[in-house]
Amino acid sequence: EFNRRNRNPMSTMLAITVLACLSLCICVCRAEDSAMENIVTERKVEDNHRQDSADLLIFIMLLTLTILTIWLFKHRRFRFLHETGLAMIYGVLVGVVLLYGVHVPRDISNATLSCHVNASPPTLLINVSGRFYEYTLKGEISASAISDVQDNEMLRKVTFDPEVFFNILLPPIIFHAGYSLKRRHFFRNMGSILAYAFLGTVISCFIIGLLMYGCVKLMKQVGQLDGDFFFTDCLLFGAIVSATDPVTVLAIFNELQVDVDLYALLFGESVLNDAVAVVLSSSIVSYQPEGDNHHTFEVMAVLKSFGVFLGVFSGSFALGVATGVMTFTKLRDFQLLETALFFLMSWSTFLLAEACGFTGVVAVLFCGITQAHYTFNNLSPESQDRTKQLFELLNFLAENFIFSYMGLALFTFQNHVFNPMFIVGAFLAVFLGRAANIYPLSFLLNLGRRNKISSNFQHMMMFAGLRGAMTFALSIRDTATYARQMMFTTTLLIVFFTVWVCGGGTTQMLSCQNIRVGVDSDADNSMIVSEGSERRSTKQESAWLFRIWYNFDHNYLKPILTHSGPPLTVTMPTCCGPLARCLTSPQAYENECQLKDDDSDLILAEGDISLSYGDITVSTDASGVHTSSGPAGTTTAAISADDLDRELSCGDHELVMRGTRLVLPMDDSEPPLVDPRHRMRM
Amino acid sequence: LPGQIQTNLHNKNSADLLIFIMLLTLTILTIWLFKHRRFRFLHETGLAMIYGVLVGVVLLYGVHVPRDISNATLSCHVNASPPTLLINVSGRFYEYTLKGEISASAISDVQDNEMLRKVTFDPEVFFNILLPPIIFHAGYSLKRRHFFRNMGSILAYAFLGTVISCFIIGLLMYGCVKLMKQVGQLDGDFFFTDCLLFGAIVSATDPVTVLAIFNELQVDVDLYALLFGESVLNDAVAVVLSSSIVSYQPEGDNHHTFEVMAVLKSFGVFLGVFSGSFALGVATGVMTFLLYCGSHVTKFTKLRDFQLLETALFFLMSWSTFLLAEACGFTGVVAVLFCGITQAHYTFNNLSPESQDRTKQLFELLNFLAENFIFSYMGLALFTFQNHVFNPMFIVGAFLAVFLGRAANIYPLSFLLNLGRRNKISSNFQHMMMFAGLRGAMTFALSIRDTATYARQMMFTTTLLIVFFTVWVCGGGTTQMLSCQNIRAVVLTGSLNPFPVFWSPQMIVSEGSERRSTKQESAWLFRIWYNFDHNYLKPILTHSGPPLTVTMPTCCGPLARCLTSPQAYECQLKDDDSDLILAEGDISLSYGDITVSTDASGVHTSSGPAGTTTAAISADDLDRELSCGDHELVMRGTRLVLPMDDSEPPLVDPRHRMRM
Repeated sequence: EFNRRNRNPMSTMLAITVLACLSLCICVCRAEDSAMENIVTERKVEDNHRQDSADLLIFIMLLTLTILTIWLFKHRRFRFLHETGLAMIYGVLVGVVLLYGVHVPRDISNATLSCHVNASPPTLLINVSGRFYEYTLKGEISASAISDVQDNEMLRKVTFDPEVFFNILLPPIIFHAGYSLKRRHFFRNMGSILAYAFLGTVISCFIIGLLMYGCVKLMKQVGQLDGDFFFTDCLLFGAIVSATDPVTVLAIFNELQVDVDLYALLFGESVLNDAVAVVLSSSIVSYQPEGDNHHTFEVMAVLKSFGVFLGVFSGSFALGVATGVMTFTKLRDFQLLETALFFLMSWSTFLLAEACGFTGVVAVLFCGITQAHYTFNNLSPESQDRTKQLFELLNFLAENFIFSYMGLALFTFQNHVFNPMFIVGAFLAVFLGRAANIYPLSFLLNLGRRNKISSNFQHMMMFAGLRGAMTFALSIRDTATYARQMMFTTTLLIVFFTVWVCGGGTTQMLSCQNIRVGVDSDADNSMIVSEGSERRSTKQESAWLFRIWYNFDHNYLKPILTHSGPPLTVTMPTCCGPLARCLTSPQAYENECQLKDDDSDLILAEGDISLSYGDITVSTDASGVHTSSGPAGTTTAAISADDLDRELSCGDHELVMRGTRLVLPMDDSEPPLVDPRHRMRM
Repeated sequence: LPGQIQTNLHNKNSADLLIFIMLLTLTILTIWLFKHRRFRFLHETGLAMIYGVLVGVVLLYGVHVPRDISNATLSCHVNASPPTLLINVSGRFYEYTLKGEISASAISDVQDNEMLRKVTFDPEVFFNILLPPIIFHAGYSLKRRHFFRNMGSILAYAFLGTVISCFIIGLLMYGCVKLMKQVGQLDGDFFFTDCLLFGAIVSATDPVTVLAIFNELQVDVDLYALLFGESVLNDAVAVVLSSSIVSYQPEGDNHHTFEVMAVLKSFGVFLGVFSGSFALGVATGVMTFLLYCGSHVTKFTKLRDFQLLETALFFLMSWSTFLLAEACGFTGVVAVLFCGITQAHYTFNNLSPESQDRTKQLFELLNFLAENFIFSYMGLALFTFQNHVFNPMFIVGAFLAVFLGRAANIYPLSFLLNLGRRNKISSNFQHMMMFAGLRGAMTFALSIRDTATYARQMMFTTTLLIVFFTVWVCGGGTTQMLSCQNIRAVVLTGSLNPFPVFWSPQMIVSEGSERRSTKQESAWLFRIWYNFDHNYLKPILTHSGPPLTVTMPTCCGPLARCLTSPQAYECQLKDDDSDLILAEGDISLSYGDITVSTDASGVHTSSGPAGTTTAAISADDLDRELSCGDHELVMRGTRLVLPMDDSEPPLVDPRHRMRM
């Protein structure tokens, strides 16, 4: 699937006369003495190791430099440049230095030997005067790059295996994203987010693909194209470029306390976006029509690709959710073990999905969401802190590493294909694709939403379509053909442009679009009350479907999987008494702290307007419960969430929560949220 | 299709890695059960090895991946083995990288069982990825008062002892090898340098199992400090020693004769590499916090506001120390160790409390994962490693030599040290130290590094068996040994948490009053350094300690004022180390964990009237009681002039107290 150029696989079966081109190292000594040779080999290995260390040191130094500068920027409150943008700038600088400043003299001597080889096996054994050496296949390199291979060792050294990004650096980022999705406003806007992420990404992918196909056709007419560029390549480009990653914008939103709904829409879209784009691109790659021409349109193959899309996505989804649910640990008291287990389970989800042929990144995403929902409540508070901090750190490091590598790759990547016409076309297509994603969908969604997505929000979302780590990782994955190389170069430029220009202009855009800034409970209380009363009358879309699931989740799943929620003996019909009793953990009864139920505010949130954008802290959610079960809800509005944090000790709400079977109303009126009948049971 | 093959390969790789992750998960779950049930006979590392062995057996006998390799022998004239190979197959170029040399006998195995080869990692992974966090964590945790009090003994055991043990083991093994040659049991070369290398490899002790039990049982802190300190520095010495033995290259034809020049050169390499790594580690340690410091001098004190950045920076600096040392040709592991010690001493104080927690937890987690991974890999390697050379005679000889080498390390040195120590190392402590000479991750990493020759393969196999034996038998028998040697152990009821070391109050009082009269050895040298460190280095480098304006002579007033950071006037309690020497006066305090608060209480008791009154309060309570402001007055502006005589003086000089 990676090498489309291999048109004729049968040819490898034939024995062909072949040249084995060996690049040889100059031997310092020609002594035949095996011991002496041994020493030389050892020294060579050592030198190699030293060189590797120095190369890696460059990246670590880059990261250190980025952190120090960022800290300066944060201190001075420069908002025009995010840390990722800065990492890219430093990467570019180091790339320039490496390309033009450093020149490692070649210590390779060429010796061409002829030999009969008929395939390229993954492992090669070579017998040099009775001593066997093992070689492993590193990959195919294009014929044009061979001179480069021998030319500049240094540049090749700082080039990582593309799979590193996909298998090592992306998972923590994606997991962290999934893990942070546990925010109330995300669930309130779930319908819209899903629409943007799924429909929107597919629309954007096809729009960009079609536009690029037009562009490529035009280029062929003008004669600007030096290689093949098929429709599938165009579609792949569309899929790659459709993964948005507005980390810069979100950081600024977070800092400026921009409207939470906008934040939730953007964040949720970008997270799910990535998953859709990954699966979409892999299913486009798997599009293999039968017959001679590999790039004709064929319904069966399209359907098959669509099947792959559905299969991989649902497989990854199921796997992620399954491991997420499976991790419901009941190990308390040993924080180190808890954190380690949490970490390992997340990682094994990724590996399991990859081993099964699904997409690890998608599985990790849903595993993160599930774990945040179920497992997190089971951890002790210290472990929750630890785990959160661990993933935060990993996410931070991985993200900045990727962005600084991007900067470096602009100069050190050796197969760049800069094609001005393609680049201009791609920028236009990306812009139009984003527009075709946001505006029509927003219009359709506004028909169903009570809380309309206003036009300035739409413009902001349009503007915030940055491209980031995922786009880069997808495009660097395969750069074997001319088309892919051109795509990679263009993608890199798109990322640079969007991160620097769109990311830097966020504050200007916000003020230009008149989007309120500083919407936070402790920042502006009166604001919230006014906003709250205005929003109280609105009804969130997508809630009806969510309610059914939520009822089931709260009454049955949560009690089984976590220590929180009402005991099963209360929620289950009386006939299932014994079963319920054996499924309920003893802690659910003893647990003084029922407040751990982090999600009870997902629906109850309608009643509570006092609460600001709930971060993942337990306490804010607790106050959500408080207000909804309290008489008015608005009285507490003046108290900031932080204060509630301290006020609400565990014991307070025990009585209110324990044993309440949540039967949520299905109608639109504003009912008492906790059914009085069940309250009597306490 | 090559793409298909590549995808399959990737899936398989994922599955292989998954095995290890599952092993770790299983270990964690079982350990949790054990901890819950308070089984002490098996430590997590031992358990990890057992699981590793089980999976190894399954992989070896249960799973058999059909070979999908077709043999095609092609003849070609090649006269060298370059690191990179380009192969042109009908116009398409493929790049191959050298993986290493394999012995001729192993070639059939290579083609035979792909699965076993897959679960075999590149040995450098251990040395470059898994060991650094372990070593760094160890160095980072060395910041304990009792370590510094016993510094002389620890250094003696670590440096002298390791060298002695290395040579004793080397000589004994040489005798054993000679004997084997006579009997005809030896199938390959085994030179004296190999024997010495074996001695160096096996001399690195790693009593993590014993220390965990000590921690849990609250065994005597001096014993703990001696063992822990020795094992940490041990590793550094063993690494450098083995690399300098490898570099022993006499001139002339015979590479294994004795030659004075080459020996001296090896010794030079030892000193050079060790001091280079040491200097580099300390330099980056100091530099890290010059970064922080620079931030403070220029008033950018807000780095504290961004804990994430602080932790990330700390992590990256530690890593770059390792890489820098490797790039310079020094030993990264040693540099990381000393970097950890320096950072714990200086930088840690400059971090905000949240970042301190974060950093500690991060390294704890990394240490835990890396350690268990190594031990489970060891279990796996017993069956999946393909070049095992089991030689019963060599193995028996090695066990004997290791035992004797350890004995020759502990007993004579203890005797000599006892001549100088006031607080003698009692004979049951010596037996305990002898018993606690477990071998662990470092020994394994050193021995797996090079398994090309027959001698090295035999060494690897034997080392593996030694590690197994010591971890399971010695580690499992620690509690029995403790009770047999009558070493006091107090089992605390609430000690579910594996890490904190707090003593029960009564114990502390009784032990404290008995130890109060004893005088720690090696303090005199340390005091001079400490005075310098406390009065000059710390004020310049950290926010803690007295302001320089107080400690410096008055003539240097302007200089002092510009060097002192404004924060040094504000919160003095951060001075984590003031108890290093003051500790003699304070007996109430338990074995200080790295928390700031315990140290703070150390300051409290030493400046208080009696010190024993607070003994009843557990360190945890003090934690909350002692807020920053309390002691500010006591500490601020006190120039610490420590007494050099043995009487028990007022520890804070009254003259300077008047300056407050």
